[in-house]
Amino acid sequence: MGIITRTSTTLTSGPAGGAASPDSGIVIETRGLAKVYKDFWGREKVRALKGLDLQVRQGEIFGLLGPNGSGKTTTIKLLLGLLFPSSGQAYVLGKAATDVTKNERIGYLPEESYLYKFLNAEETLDFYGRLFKLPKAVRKERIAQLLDLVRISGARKRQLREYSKGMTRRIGLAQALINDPDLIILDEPTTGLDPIGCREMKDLIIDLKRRGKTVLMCSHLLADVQDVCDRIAVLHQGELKELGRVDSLLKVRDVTEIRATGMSEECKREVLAVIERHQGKVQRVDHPTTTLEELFLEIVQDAEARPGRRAGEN
Amino acid sequence: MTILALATSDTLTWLTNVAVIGGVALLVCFLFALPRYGVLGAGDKIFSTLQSAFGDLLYLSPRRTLAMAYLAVKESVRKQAIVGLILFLLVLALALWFLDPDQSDPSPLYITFVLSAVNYLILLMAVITSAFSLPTDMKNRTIYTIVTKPVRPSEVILGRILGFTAVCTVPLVVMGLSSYFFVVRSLDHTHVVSESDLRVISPQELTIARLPAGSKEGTTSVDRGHSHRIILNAAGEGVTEMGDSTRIADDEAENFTERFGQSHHHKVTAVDRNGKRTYVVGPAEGQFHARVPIRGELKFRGMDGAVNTEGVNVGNWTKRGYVTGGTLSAAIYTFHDVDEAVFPEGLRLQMDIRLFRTTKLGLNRPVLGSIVLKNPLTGLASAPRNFSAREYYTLDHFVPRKLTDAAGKELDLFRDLVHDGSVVLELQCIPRSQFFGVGPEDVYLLAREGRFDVNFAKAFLGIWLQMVLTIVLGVVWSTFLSGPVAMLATAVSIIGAVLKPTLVKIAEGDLYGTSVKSGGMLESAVRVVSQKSAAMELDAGTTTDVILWIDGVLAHAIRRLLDFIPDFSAMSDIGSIARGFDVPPQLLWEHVLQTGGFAIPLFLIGFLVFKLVEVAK
Repeated sequence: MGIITRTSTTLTSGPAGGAASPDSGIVIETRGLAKVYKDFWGREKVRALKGLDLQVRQGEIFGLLGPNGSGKTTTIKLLLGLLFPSSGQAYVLGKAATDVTKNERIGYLPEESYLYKFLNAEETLDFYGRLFKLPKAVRKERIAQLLDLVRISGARKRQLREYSKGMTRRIGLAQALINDPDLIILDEPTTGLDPIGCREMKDLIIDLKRRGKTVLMCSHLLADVQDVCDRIAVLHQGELKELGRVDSLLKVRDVTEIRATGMSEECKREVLAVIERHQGKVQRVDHPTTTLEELFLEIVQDAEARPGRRAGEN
Repeated sequence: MTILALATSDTLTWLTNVAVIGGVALLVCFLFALPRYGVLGAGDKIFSTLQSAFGDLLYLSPRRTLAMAYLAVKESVRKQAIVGLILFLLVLALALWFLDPDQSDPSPLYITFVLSAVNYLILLMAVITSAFSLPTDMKNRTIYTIVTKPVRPSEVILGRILGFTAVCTVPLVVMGLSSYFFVVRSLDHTHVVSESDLRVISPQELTIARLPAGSKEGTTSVDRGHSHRIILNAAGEGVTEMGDSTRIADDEAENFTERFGQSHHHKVTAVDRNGKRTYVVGPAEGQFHARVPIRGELKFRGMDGAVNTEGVNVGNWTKRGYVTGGTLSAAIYTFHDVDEAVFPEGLRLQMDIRLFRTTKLGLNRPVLGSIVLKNPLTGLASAPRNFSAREYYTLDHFVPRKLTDAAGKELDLFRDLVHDGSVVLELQCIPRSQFFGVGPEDVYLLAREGRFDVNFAKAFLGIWLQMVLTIVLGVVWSTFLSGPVAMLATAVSIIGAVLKPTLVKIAEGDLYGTSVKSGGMLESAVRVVSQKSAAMELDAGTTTDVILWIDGVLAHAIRRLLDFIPDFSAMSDIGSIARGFDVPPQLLWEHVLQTGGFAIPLFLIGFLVFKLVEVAK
């Protein structure tokens, strides 16, 4: 996943910068999409999705958010043609979701990497490459690139049954990218990954966007979604509850935050005085805390830079 | 009916059946969709599904199909395929232990055993391999990563079928080669002959037997439970005898070998070194046959001279008809395609005649019979040619080209008796109170001896085709059933296919093969409770009528259902190969057609079901 790049932590700015162009094409569209699960006798068991209307534009990272059972995975399965809608329509890349030819340009990472454990990493990617009818030379080249990208080149000959959960996720991601897809659908992409892996995955998602790809991901890890997504849809009990840009949805309009370094106590007092003079109300003056993820990554980077150092030593 | 006409009529029947099933399936789908989508909606839904299904078939990609096949191969190889081979080796070890090569003519037993073992093992392997794969993929959800690629349902199904076929073909080939060498090596043997085993034949005997001067006679050593009588010429060369005419007539002889001799022979050569002669007995020859017969149409002439299709029934339920001895009664075979180029010297006639004796004495004695060859057009007939019939022994009778008629006038077989490739053979039993039993396959002209190894390989084609059908069935069942249930369904289908002739008989109430009907399910239950045998009439009345009517409906339904099950017994040539008959290419072609006839609709059903099933359900 390459070098870890730190994203800006400015609260008000979006994670990757640059919004999807309003003129860009629609990659995913659902109209009144609904799914009802029935039992053997055709009796209704549960309404998993209720009349979902959604549009995902080209080049954006779109997040589906919601608690367990909210209909996120059902939506993804309907979009991939793994399930058939009870009513409504779903179009992906301009084709009906049940049309297999749309899959030529799609990469899909399932919730858990459902891969054939009796194959090794190389065979796995080769097999999926064959399903896209990639020529042998292209397959060979892409397999080498992807194994490097997900950093499992050293385990390329090991059967997947011997892989850890994190490694399985990585090879799962590699198989989703074997066809250099235009649309990547990721179901809980950071599940099973350690913090470094999580960060690498998020960086990769942002990198995919930079390369003009569209990403649809679903997750219940809000921090992940917040870090990478341009737009989100919040689902609850099969209904769409919120839809919009992450930055505007999260923006607290009536609170202003100023971040500065090198402020003296006198300077702080002056700033507070100015706020009060203008009828503003100061809620809190504090030193910001970093996130645990940030702290962990700093420690790991430091440990790699200075091997042998222990806690408490300078 | 010519082969072409037959093929056309069969193809038409097949197409009709497929069309009817397809029509019924569409109607059922329509009725299911009707309440949900309405008349137009349901029609539109079915049409769009069919359209997309047609596209799936039309744009089926061989590369992707092969990729799916490759996956199936990898899966099987890394999981279980070796188990089948190990099982087979165990079976061979058991065979070595229990089969007795010392008995007379052990080759049919050996061939039947190994081929049947291979047949059942490979079918078992095909069932296990094919029924679990798709359900496991669904259960582990690995199928998600397949169907979200541009893979069509047709490619998933066909890829699986091809992959498992490849997986099972490899052990089948290994089993084939090992079983061939097992049979040939197990039955191979030789004997020892030394100078002391031979005696010089006296001049009188030489003259009687028309043997060259200096001939010697003797018996080989006893190996594999038998010895051979040999007559060697002055140079010490000869061939051991297969059937010993002096011993055949021996009433006191206890076993088959002693009565009838061996089914094989050995070549004997002599080596003279330092004035001393030693004899070398070659390997067993003629143990394995692949006879290419020309079979005829069989009719019977009764004691009154009337010609019937059936012979005398002596009480046993077989397909053979019996000819009464010492009367006009005869079995009349009409052979076609009797070509002079095939039989330049004369006809080689082989007869496997059953005897029914009404006298107690001389159970081992041969029974005299005669044959007459007749021109089917002119009725011109040869003089009767006598032979000795023995039970459980294939009689080889040579009819020379030059024959005479009853008046002693010379006849040429092809010029006078064969008309347009056809000739009639009348077979009679001479002694009164004895009967000859023959069926259509028991008397034939031997056109040539084919190669046994090629014939043995043909058995594997039949087994391979059964294996392919089993795999197709397994994959189709597994498109909508869980692994164990799919395996059970496949196993039941296969048992039905193996027992199809018996099941058909049960459905038709013809299990006994006689005028006594075996009855249906309810009738049998009533008979069990009321303790009435099948030969007794049930009490007349409404209850009986209702029972018989329900049984009739059930039997008819079962009979029609059986049409949709392949007949594995008809696809198996093990019996005729073990009995030493060549499997004709037309028969193999019929097996291929039957396999295709079932495999294609089954594949379509599997593909459609898989297309309509929600993978992520």
